[in-house]
Amino acid sequence: MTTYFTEIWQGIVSILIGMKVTFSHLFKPTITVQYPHETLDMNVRTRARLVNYEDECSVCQACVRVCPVNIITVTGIRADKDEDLGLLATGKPKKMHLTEFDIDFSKCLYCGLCVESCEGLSLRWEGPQEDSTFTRDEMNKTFVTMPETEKIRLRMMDEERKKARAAAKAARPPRVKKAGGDGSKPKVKDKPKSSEPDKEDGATV
Amino acid sequence: MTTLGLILVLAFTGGIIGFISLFSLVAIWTERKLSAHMQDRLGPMETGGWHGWAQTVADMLKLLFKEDIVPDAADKPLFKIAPYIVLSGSIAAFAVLPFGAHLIGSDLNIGVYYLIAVSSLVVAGILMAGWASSNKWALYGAMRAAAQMISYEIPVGLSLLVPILIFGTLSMQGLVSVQSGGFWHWSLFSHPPFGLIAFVIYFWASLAEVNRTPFDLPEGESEIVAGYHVEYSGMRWAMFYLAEYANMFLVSGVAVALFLGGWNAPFSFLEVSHEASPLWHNLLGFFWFSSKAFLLVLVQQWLRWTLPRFRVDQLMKVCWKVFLPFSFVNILLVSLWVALSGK
Repeated sequence: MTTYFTEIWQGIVSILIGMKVTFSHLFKPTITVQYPHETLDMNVRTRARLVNYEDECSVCQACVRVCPVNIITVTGIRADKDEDLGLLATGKPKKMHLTEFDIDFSKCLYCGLCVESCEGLSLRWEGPQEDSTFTRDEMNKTFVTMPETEKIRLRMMDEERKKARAAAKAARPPRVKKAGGDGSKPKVKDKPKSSEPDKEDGATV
Repeated sequence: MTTLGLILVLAFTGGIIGFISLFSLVAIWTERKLSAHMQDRLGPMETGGWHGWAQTVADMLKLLFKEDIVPDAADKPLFKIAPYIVLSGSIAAFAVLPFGAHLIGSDLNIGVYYLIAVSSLVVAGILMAGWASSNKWALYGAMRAAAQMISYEIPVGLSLLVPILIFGTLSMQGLVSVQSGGFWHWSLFSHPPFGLIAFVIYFWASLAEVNRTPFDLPEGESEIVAGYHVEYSGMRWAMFYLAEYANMFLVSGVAVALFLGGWNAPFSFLEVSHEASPLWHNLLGFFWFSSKAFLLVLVQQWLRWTLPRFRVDQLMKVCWKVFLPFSFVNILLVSLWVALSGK
């Protein structure tokens, strides 16, 4: 009999306590935001969308090589010797014009390997959180603002440079081969030399 | 019946339906805002501009344009008529609700009796809806609703007997007019603590009557989806919703009329006497009645967002083992008081 009445009393008291709690929450500031109008500040390590800053990109292709799903396309054209493209985050001067930097986000894993491998620290997790697009093609984002005419100009310049070099090569007297040497060794030495970017071949990488 | 009488009846019915619709629009909005702010959210904010005031209007328009789906396996005539029966049960009960000194559909001398009788029509409508849907969840929900509403009508009726015993009348206007002259004349305070106990029992049991939390067992999202109206859509579904909110106002209005002085102001200086201006007397009465009733509706919503729901056995236990004995003892003691005071 005592438990009956104490239970009823406890029930009434606990209901009143609960009502007090909900009433106090009625006047507390809300913790949600009106999303499309205002957004929450995301954590600096949020993996939402990649952004590449073309002025800081060294066109080193590290991200292309490391990407497990091969969705990054990077092309660049070597700048002239007298052209000043500024410094990279590493302190070295920027030597390449970035002509193409595409990431197909429809296939992206958001693994972040490209960001970790980035030499010039130009590729960062900084984009907006909203990724939805109307077509699949729109998921392929490009990070190059260079106009098409400028790209054509750079390509023509590059072609001319190549022609000039080929002409110079033809005009150059053939190197005298060392007699009695191992045939394979100079070949191996020659090959990396010819494709080394330090030489002024301005290859479209 | 004369033509004028018929026109008056139709006008009153139209007025009641309009009032119910308007009240539902406001009450649904306040419920959504209250629930949101109690959970530290904002609730509807976009539609209509200021704090989403037009959200329920937009919802209602959407429901009006929705397709009226009747399942193939349903008992079609019963399925179609059930929402009307549920809604007409509540509208019929509004006929004896005293909104003001003259704002009452019909001041029956058995007003409370009629009210309890006619509001039971809702149970029949809900059972009909659940059965006609030929859906197991709908049937379970309807059975739960019927079991709960029928068993809770007993404490409701018994607690309503207390003011009837005190004032010795069953007429709604009679009950309200004897509570005039300040809030200490209301039956909630005039016979302490019996009025208060009866009011608390009535209020809690009426929550079960209108299937509100913590007694919202007929709707169990995790078990039986939406309960008895799971197969309904569009305006037929909206009628159930409308009936729920109409019933909320109805039970609050009955509580106001029987326990909280009806259309009487809490202090007599806030009233305009009938002799001075009959119009203002009625309008102020309407204001006091509806604001008291709306306050009780807000308390119902407050409780809904505070308490979790009961289990079925707890529901029955509270009804038969707590409310019923307390009501009986309450009636006994009030009867003694009234008999000894020699009224």
